[in-house]
Amino acid sequence: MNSIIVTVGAVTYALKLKKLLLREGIRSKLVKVDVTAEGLGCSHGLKLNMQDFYSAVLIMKTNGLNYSVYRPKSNDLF
Amino acid sequence: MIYFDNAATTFPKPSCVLREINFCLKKYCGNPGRSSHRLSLKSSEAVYSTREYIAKMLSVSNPEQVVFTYNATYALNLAIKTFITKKCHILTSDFEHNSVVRPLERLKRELGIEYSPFSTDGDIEDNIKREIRPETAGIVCSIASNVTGDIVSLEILSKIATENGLFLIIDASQAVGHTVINLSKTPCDVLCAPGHKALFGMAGSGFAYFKDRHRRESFIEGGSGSDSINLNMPELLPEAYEAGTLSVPAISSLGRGVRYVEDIGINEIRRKLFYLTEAMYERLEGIRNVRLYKYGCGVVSFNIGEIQSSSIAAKLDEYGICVRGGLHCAPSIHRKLGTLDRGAVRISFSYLNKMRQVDKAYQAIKNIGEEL
Repeated sequence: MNSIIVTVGAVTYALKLKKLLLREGIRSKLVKVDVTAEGLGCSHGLKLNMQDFYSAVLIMKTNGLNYSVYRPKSNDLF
Repeated sequence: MIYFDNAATTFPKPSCVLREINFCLKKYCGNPGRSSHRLSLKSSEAVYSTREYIAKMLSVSNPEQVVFTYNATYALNLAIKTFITKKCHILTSDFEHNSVVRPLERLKRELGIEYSPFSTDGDIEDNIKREIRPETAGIVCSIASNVTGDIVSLEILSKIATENGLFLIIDASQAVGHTVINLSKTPCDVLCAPGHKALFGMAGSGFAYFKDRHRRESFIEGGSGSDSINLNMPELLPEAYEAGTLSVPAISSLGRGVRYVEDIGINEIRRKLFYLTEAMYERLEGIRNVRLYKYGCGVVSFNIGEIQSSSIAAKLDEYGICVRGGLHCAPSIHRKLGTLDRGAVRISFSYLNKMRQVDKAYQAIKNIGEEL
């Protein structure tokens, strides 16, 4: 598996993160998941290459964005 | 037809805005933040881009703190009712619109708050400072009158609020799109504005920029597209205050309108409005029976003899000229002008008005004045 999904809550924050990542040359795809790792219900996030994950974490921390790593379930198509 | 009621809502809209609305409705208008399909995602992107354009226009770096509303009134209600939750004293100006006064009046009834106006004549800084009491919690104030175009400096309001530990809620309805607003230099807690006036968006667009991104107790709850199992609204703005489906066509039109204004440049818009306003005022000064009031910010208000202002507005409509008579939902300024009994006729310009329209309106008003 060479991609990972990070969720950041509402779509606004996912789009903010998408633009911040792109500014650093990291491409990602906006996705919606049904239940977050915390079990809070729908959330938006970004699917990105595993190799970009640590750069993304740094960017999220720098910009005060709380994130979770989404673990696809057996019945996910992600 | 000549449209001079732009302080109520601008007409016509620039063709780029009309094209954007058409494109949105035809090509991508899904429900933003709700689904995984392309129309929903594209709509989310269009909404977020508009947040970015507005943040840039206000010189702030947090587009997520731009909350979309349906107009400035909704934005002001949201700001006022999330900030004022207990008995306190609020300062406001003497030319406020009912979108500020009525929410405050309700809180006076329900929470026992007090509010009092400061005079916008003379030294405003002194006037405000004189009115501050130990129990004063904040200032809720418009920075441009919708009747006289009078200005209250955001710089002064921001300075006083900061120095005295007061919250500051700004109604920028008549200022946004006409004047440079830099919230990095002159911060406030909330800035509320319509999208459908000088920013040329369609009716149904408005916003509030909140300095703090954390939710306060609000009066609106519902679907937000995220955090669905939680029975409370999300903790962070903007979704915390944006329950229910957003109007993507209205928001997209606002985004295009903001870019249109930025492309022209606020200073160029100000220059043209000043030119039109001065020209109108100078012409009206020469008409017998015309009584002029203060003017500015693209607004000139007047009366003819003792005639009711709405009947003058109706008469001007017969000439194909659209203006607004009455009290403009701002009775306090009319009380101050002595026009509470008959209102005033307001001419309000947009960047798209022309000098020849000023001349035609002058001729029509002159004819009405001479008929008396």
